[in-house]
Amino acid sequence: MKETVIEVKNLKKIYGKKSERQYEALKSVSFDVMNGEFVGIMGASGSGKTTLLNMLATFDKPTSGSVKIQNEEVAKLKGNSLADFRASKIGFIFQDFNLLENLTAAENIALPLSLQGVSAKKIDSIIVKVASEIGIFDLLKKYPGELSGGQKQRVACARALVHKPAILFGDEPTGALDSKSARELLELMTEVNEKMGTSILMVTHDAFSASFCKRIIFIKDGKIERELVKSESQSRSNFYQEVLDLLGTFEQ
Amino acid sequence: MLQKLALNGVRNRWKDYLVLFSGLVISSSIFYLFETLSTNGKYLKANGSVVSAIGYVFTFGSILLMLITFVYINYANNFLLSMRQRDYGLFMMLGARKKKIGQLIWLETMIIGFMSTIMGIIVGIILSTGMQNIVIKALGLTAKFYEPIWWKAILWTLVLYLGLFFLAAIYNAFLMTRKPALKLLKSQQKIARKQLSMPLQILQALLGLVLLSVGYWVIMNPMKYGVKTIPISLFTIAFGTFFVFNSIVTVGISFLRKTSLAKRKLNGFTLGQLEFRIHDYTKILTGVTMLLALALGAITTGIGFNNITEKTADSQSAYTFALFQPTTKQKALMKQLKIEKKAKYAYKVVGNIVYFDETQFASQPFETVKFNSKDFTSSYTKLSVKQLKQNIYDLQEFTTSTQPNAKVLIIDSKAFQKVQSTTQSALFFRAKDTYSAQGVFSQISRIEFAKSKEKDHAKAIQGNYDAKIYIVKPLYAGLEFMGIFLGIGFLAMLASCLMFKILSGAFADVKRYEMLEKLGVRKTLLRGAIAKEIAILFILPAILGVAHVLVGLNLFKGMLINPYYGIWVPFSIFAVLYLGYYLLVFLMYQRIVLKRKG
Ligand SMILES: Nc1ncnc2c1ncn2[C@@H]1O[C@H](COP(=O)(O)OP(=O)(O)OP(=O)(O)O)[C@@H](O)[C@H]1O
Ligand SMILES: [Mg+2]
Repeated sequence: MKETVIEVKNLKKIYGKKSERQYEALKSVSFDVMNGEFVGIMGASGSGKTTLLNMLATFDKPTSGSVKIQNEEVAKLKGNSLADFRASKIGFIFQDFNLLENLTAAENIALPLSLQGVSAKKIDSIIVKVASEIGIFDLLKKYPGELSGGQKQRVACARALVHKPAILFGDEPTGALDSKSARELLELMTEVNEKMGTSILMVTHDAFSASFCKRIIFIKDGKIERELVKSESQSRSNFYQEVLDLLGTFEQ
Repeated sequence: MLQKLALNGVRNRWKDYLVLFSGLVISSSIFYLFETLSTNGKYLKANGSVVSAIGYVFTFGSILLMLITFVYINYANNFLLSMRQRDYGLFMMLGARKKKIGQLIWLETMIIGFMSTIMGIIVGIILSTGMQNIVIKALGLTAKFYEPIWWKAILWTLVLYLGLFFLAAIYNAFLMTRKPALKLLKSQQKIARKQLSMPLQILQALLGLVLLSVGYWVIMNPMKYGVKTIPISLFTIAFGTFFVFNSIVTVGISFLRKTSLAKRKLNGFTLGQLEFRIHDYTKILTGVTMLLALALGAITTGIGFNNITEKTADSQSAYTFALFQPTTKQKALMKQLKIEKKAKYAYKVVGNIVYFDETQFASQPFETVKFNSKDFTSSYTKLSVKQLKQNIYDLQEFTTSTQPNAKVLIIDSKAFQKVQSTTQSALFFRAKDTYSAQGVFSQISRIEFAKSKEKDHAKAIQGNYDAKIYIVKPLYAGLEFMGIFLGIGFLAMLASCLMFKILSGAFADVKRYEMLEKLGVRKTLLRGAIAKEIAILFILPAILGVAHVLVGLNLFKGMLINPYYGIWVPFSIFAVLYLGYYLLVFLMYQRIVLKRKG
């Protein structure tokens, strides 16, 4: 029996204050993510993907409903406990990398560990380990300005994983990458998911990226429209075709 | 249409514009203040005659201030550009003509420049009037020939500022039309990190230290270098400071980054921020150091002049007053004073000679004063009759009031009895807390003058405390005014300089801090990181600046006897102001960088 990492119940998000014009971006969304899953969230532009992810990742607060990560109600977290929760439980890869350009790759990766008060010696050994796993050992001394988009995203991935978070979130992590780098990153994420057992939840609007996931949740106009699960025996290209077909039916 | 969009941009960021605008107003008003002094030849001549160096101080002060203004406007303009580049880049992406964009940015720069300069002059006039009144009231001095509204100052401020803004406007227009739109849009992501090679850094450090030592040595030996002392030391110290910041500090920071200290909490981030900015900051840090040294030095010497007025008056003789045939009114006034020492001597006057009975100087010895310039204390020694006869001037100084051109003779009792004249009495006393008792003194003094046969006021009250204040005060009043005035002016200039540079970096930081928050950094930690980063930018110039002042005060040895006496007073006033200013910048920075919500 696998445990749930994320439990989403009746999640709603309404933008705009009561007095202003309101917009309901999410209308009662519920789903679970199990430990070790690799889940994709797909949907047309404006369907509410980023809105959903921001609430799961504690960057935004829901209007109503609940989000539990490892059985902790995240909407209730505030101030220091919110910050500490982010620092210990969550890893995030952004579309535009979000590396600190005045720190080297190594320093960027070290940041989550420094925040947790890990000793300098231990930090060094962890970084070497993670960097070799992700294949960026040679880049450690460089600054983000000296890296390509794909390299930056790998560093960002290392930073998101270095503190062993409960879940790794990604909002279109391949969005700014060329197809080769995108494929490399997705392969890396698959490896992380399979070898390290890290749960991943990734937003994407691109079928190729989604085909790397094991389960895909489709949302439309703020509601879950469909779910697609990749069967054990199914090949990636086959799953890719299935996703494309499903998207085709949506458009009709 | 485009104008409307541009105006809208201004409206959306009016708070940032307020920072920019107020900074420029402060800068131009300070420049105006300075010019009211430095272009007023009559004032300088009237007050500067005591010290020939004053003229040089002002010439170099002017040049320095102009350079600082130049750097300052450059920073202000960068601040403006950093706010506007994205907006204008976007308009260009949308198809706005480059020429139109160029015109707009030109106009925007000129309007800001013109309005802030005019406002600055108005504020400058208000400030100089207020300052004159405050200084006069608080210190009881008059600055002769000082004019708060001085057309030459207005003219110079206009010429310099409008000229510089004109250049800035052309530069901005050029930049906007030359750079591709995409670069403008992405301008904030650009990073600067120039690292010099180690040997070059060491060379710079050495050069900096050598220049500083030369500067300090010249200041310590002003006699040797005469009028060249100030230009040489200003030049060497300014460049020395620059090289030191550019090398030692940068090497220090990159060294710290490699230690395990950098892996604690946000230390690594703070050090990274500093290393990326330090090259950008060295110029402003040098400017701030020099301004700080000038401000603190000016205030210290200003207060030093106040001390010396006081002390020279106190230390001229052992007695505050000598009253000849004191009236009942004078005796009544004396009751308001704290009398430390009193002596009554009988005398007789015949023709041009004042006779004293020597026996009374044996029972009540006459005292003389010795002034210790190290700790500004006076010590008194009792004179024997024999000694007094040898140093008769100490007594004679007082008697001129009752008998001009008198000769003083101290004779034995028998001889004194034989002198054919009425016996009169003179009252000598020494009062404590002379500074606060000046009002009473001048009343006593006026009565004494009325009794005197001497027509000249200064001569009539010769030897008395009041006379000394009367002579000494105007000598130093102008200098004291100048010192405090300049000190406050430099301090304000320093303040707005540092504020600009730091705040213009704040915009680039917004994203970084947002990112850190998403990584799960506590608010307190973020605030701590901001506090540390700004503190270092404040502390570095403070350390070097204070060192410069401590050495520089040496220049005033001639005028102030001991320029280091009581420096803790101006130093602590300055420290409090500086600290308050640090807190202000810290709060403003935090406001820009950290969102309140979340
Ligand atoms: N801060 C906000 N205030 C008001 N409305 C918002 C806000 N953020 C998003 N919305 C609206 O909510 C809806 C969902 O937005 P969201 O960003 O979640 O879409 P998305 O699925 O991520 O789209 P995309 O694929 O283009 O990134 C959109 O219609 C958007 O206009
Ligand atoms: Mg989105």
